[in-house]
Amino acid sequence: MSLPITRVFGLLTASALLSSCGEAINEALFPHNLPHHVAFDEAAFTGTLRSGTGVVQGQLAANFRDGTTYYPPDTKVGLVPVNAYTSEIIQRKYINGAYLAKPDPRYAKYVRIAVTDDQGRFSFSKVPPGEYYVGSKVSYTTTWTYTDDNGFSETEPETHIWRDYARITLQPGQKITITDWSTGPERITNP
Amino acid sequence: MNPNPFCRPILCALAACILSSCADAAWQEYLFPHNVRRQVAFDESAFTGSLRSGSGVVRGQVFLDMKDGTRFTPANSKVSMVPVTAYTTEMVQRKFVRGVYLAKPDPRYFKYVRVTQTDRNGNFIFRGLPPGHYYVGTKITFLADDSYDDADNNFQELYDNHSCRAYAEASVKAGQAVTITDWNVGPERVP
Repeated sequence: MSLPITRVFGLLTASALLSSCGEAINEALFPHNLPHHVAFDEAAFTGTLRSGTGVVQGQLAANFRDGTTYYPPDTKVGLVPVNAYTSEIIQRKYINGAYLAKPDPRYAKYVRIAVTDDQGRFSFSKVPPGEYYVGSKVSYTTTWTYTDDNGFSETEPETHIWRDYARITLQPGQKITITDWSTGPERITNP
Repeated sequence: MNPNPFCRPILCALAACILSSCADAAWQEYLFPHNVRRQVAFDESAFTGSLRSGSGVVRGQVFLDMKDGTRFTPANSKVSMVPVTAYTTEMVQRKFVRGVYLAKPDPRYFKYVRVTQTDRNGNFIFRGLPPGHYYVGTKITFLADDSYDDADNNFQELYDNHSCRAYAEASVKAGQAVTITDWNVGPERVP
């Protein structure tokens, strides 16, 4: 099927505006805001805000089925202590893809955050010894093209989302480099 | 970077025309590797006992709770039952829980899978089971209204099959009837 050329240019302009219109497609039907089973115990978190001498660094990477590797840039990476509360988040939200409710409001202040550079690399310094999860929500946008009811070709963005985590044990003054990730299920949404 | 800014949009538009002819097949392909290799080798001796005839029963109802509060009970849906072994545990943990695109199982595997179908209310029953520890698994497919407004603000009617996998474990003693009341549900997939 071919399109008249004016139509094609109209489309290209329209696609730039796309993010402002269009309602959600492919909305997940599974229950959202699932309650946490584990209560938030602030005492299990307080030690991690101390200043230490350890370093946790690494690189986010995803191997796609076409053989390419993607190093997510400008992506937040979180570091939290291993405890019952964070283990539930990892098990249900990261591994199983459950739509868990937002964490307790006190939780956020115990999450150390780093942002990846253009090669997916990140670093946390002055980390006290302990057991930690390092986790990240990664997204990658592609486009898909289809023919609409009027026979016109349309192109829409398509965002793939997944979560990566690693579990580490940090000794005093140790530097750990994470390159191996446990990857949760891949989701596709349209922004 | 392309030296000629006018060259690229036309190429894109041409590509879009070509793509549209096979849009149905091509839309929303997952990026993650397919046919991921298993880590556990198939050990046939771990399966052979499960084909004996016994007096145990496992029954239940397949159901899925949606975020709108409705409960979906799939009719005429395939339900499978296998013994708990290292091989099936890998399958449940990676394919069912984490949504990994695992490679097809060993061809010998299939003869050890008991299969039944749900009735119109999602109910199923396995009879004549020898005592043992089993996984019961199913792939649940549900039709969703994913209609949306396209780039030109035209309403596009779209119904999609979403799917997920669910499993449960059952320990059956001689002559015992076990009812499954709860399912571990894996990630929701959108086509």
